[in-house]
Amino acid sequence: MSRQICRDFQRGNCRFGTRCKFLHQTGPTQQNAYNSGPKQTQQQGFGTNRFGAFNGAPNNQRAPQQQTAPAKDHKCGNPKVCQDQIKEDVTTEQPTYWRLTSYAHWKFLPNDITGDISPEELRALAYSNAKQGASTQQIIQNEQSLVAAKMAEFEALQRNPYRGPATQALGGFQQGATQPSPFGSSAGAGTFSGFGTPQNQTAAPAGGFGQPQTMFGVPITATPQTGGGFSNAFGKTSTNPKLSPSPFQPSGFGQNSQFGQTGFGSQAPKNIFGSQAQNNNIFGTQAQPSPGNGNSVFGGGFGTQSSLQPANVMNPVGFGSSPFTNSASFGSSPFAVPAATPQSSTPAATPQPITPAVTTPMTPNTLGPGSLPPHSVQTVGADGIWQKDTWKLGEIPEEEPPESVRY
Amino acid sequence: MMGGVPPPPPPHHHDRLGGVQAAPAPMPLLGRELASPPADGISNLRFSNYSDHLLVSSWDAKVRLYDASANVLKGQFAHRAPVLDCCFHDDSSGFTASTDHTVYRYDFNTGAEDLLGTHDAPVRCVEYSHATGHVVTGSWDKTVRCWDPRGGTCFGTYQQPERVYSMSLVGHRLVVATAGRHITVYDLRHMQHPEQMRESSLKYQTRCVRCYPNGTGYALSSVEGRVAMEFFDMSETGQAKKYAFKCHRKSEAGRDTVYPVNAIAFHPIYGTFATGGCDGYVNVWDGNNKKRLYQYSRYPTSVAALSFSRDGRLLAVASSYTYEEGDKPHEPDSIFVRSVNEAEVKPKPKAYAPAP
Repeated sequence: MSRQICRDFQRGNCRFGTRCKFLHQTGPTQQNAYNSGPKQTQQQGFGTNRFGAFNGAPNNQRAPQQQTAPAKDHKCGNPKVCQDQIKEDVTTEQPTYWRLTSYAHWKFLPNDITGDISPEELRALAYSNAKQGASTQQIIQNEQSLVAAKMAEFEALQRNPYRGPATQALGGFQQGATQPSPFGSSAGAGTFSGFGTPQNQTAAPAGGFGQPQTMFGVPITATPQTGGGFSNAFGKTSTNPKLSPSPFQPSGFGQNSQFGQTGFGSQAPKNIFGSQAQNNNIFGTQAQPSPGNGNSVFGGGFGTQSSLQPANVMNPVGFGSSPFTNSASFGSSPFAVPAATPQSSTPAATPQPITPAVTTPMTPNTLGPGSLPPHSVQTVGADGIWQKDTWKLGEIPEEEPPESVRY
Repeated sequence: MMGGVPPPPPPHHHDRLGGVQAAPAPMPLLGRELASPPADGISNLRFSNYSDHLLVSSWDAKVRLYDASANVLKGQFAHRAPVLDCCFHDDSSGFTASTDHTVYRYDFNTGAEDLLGTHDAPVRCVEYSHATGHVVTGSWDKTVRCWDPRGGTCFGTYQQPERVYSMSLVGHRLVVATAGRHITVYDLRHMQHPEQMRESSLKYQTRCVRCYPNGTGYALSSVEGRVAMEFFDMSETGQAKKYAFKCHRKSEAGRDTVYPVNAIAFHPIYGTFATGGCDGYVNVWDGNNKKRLYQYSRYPTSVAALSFSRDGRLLAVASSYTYEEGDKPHEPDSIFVRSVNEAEVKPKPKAYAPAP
C-alpha cells in the first residue's frame, strides 16, 4: 500500500514540505463522507454515539481534517488518484468475507468491477448443484474459484484503474451493464461477442439455477489456510505478472478477448491440473505465484470458463450428502483468504481500448510504488493504439511502432 | 466492550404439526426464542400490520406463520423450492416468492394456495402495496412485475438494469435495488417511467433497501459494513441531507473486519431503525440525529432479517447464517422475538453542549 496521506498537507500547511515522509497529494481523502481514515470502530458499547463521519469534535481524534476541508468530490481525471482510492478501498474497505461483489471507487459512479453475486444466489446455486449430485467438496471448490476470480479482478483493477472520465450512469440499462453473473450459461458464449455491446444479457443468470452449472468448469483446490493471511495479500500487488484480461470485463475488449481466448482457452485444462501445487500457495501463504505456471493456471481458468460456458457443463456439480458436513477444505473460510492471482485486466466500459495485455509469454511487470502500470507486451493485432490521435496517460506505448504503421 | 457470548439456546422441539410449546427460554438477553423454527436458513420475516403474527420464509421451502406473542407456530405452508421472501396481504393471507420462479398467495385459514404468476428466474422480493392493491415482485430475471392479488393477471413487467436484490415500498413509492449497485425509484401509479435511476452511493454490493416510514427517503445497506441514508427529494436542499455511515465492523489489531449489513427495519412509530449484520449484532440508529441508540447482545450467527411489530413493541430477529462464507457448517437457524424498551428505540435529540 502507498504511504499514508499527510494530514498537515491536507490541511494546507505541512512544515516538512518535500521532505515529508507522508504522501502529499490533494486527492480525495474520503475523510469526509465516510470518515474512513484510520480504523473506526462502531462497537464501542452503549453510551458512545459513533456514527461515522458525524462524530462531534471531542470524540473525533481521528480525522480532524474532515472539519476543515469540505467533502471533495472525486472526478476521474488523474489516474493516480483513482488508483490510490482503489488501493485504499481494497485494503481497508473490502468486505472481509463476502467477496463476490461489484465495486466502484466513488459513490454514484458506475461499476469498476461488475459481476455481483449475492449470498442468496450463491446458496441457490449450491442447493441446485447438490440436487444434481455434486459433493460438498465440489460445491465448495466451485465457490472458492468464484472468489479467486473476483479477487483477481480486484488485483487487476488496482494496477490499472484508469479508464477514462467516468460519467455517472444515466439510464443504467446499458451502462456498465454488467456482465451477467457467472451463473449465466450464455455468459460465456456472449463473452467475446456480446461484450462488444453492453446489453443486458437476459436470462443468462436466470436459466442457470435449474441446471447443473459449474462456474469455471475446473475446480481449483485450495488447501485450508488460516484466515490470517489475508492482510498481507493486498500489500503485494507489485510483482505479480500480468495475465490476459479477465473475461468478466465487459465491452471494449474485442481484440483482447480473442487473444485471451486463444491464448488460454486451449491450454486451460492442462495447466490447471498441472499446476495445482501453485494454487496452494496462492490461497494461503504469502508466496508469490510464480510466473509461468502460476499465471497460466488462472489464465487458463478463465480461458476455460469462457470457452466452456457455452457448452454449459463440464463437471456437473451437485449435492451429495449433507451439505453441512464439516468439510476439511473449508476449515477456515477461504473467503477471508485472498488469492494473489495475477491479472491485468482493465476495467469496464472504456471509451477507448486500453492497451491489451496479453498472451502466453508473460513478462512480469513490476509496479513501482505510485507509478502508472507500465505496458505489457502488445500483440500484433493491437494496432489500434497507433491509429489514435492522442494518447492518454497510461496508454503510451513503449515499443517502436510496428512496420505496418510506419510511414 | 460488549457483553460476553450469550448462553446457548435452549433445546426446542421440532414438531411438524405445529403448535408445540418450547421449553421456557432462559435468556432475556437475546429475546424469546420461537418454538419450531425453520429447519434451514431464514430468508425473511415480517410482522403483520394487524396483529403479532409473524410470517417467516425459509430455505427449507416452507413458509411459517407464528403468533409471536404466544410463541406458537400456527401453520406452515410447503413450497416446492426455497422461499426467498414473504409478506402479508391482510392478517389471514400472504404472498411468497420462491426460487422456483413462482409467486403464490396463501390463505392461512383455509390453507388454499393460488399461483399468482411466474418470473423467468428465482423471485427474490415480494411486496404488497396497500396504496394500489397490487402485489409487486422483483426477480433475478431483472424484472419487477405487478400482479393482481386475486390471481391471474400480471399488470406489468418492468425491466431492471440488473437482477433485483431488494425492494421496499412506502406510500406510492417503490425502491428497487439491483445487482451492480443500481437503484431505481418508481411511482407505483406510473410504473412505465421510473422516477429516478442512479447508482448506489455505496461502493460495494447492495444488500438491503428500506424506505423511511415517513416516506421521505430510504436507507441502503451494502456488503461493506455501511448504510447510506438517501432522500427522494432531488432538490439541492433535499440531497444535502444525504449521508452514509459505517457500521457492523469489528476493529482488531489495526484492521477492520467488514461485515455485510443484511437487514434494515424501521420502527413504525419513532422512525428510528435497526440494522442487522453478518457480525451477529443488531444496532438501533437514530437517523435524524445521526446517533446509535443501542446495540443488542450478539446473536449466535448472522442476522438475516429484522422486523418490528406494528406497534414497535416487539422486534423479531432472524439469527440465521446467510451464506456469506459459502457452504460451511453453522449455528442452527433461530428466531428471537424481543420486547423493545423505549430507551432502545426512542430518538434522543442532540444535547446543546457548548462547543469545545
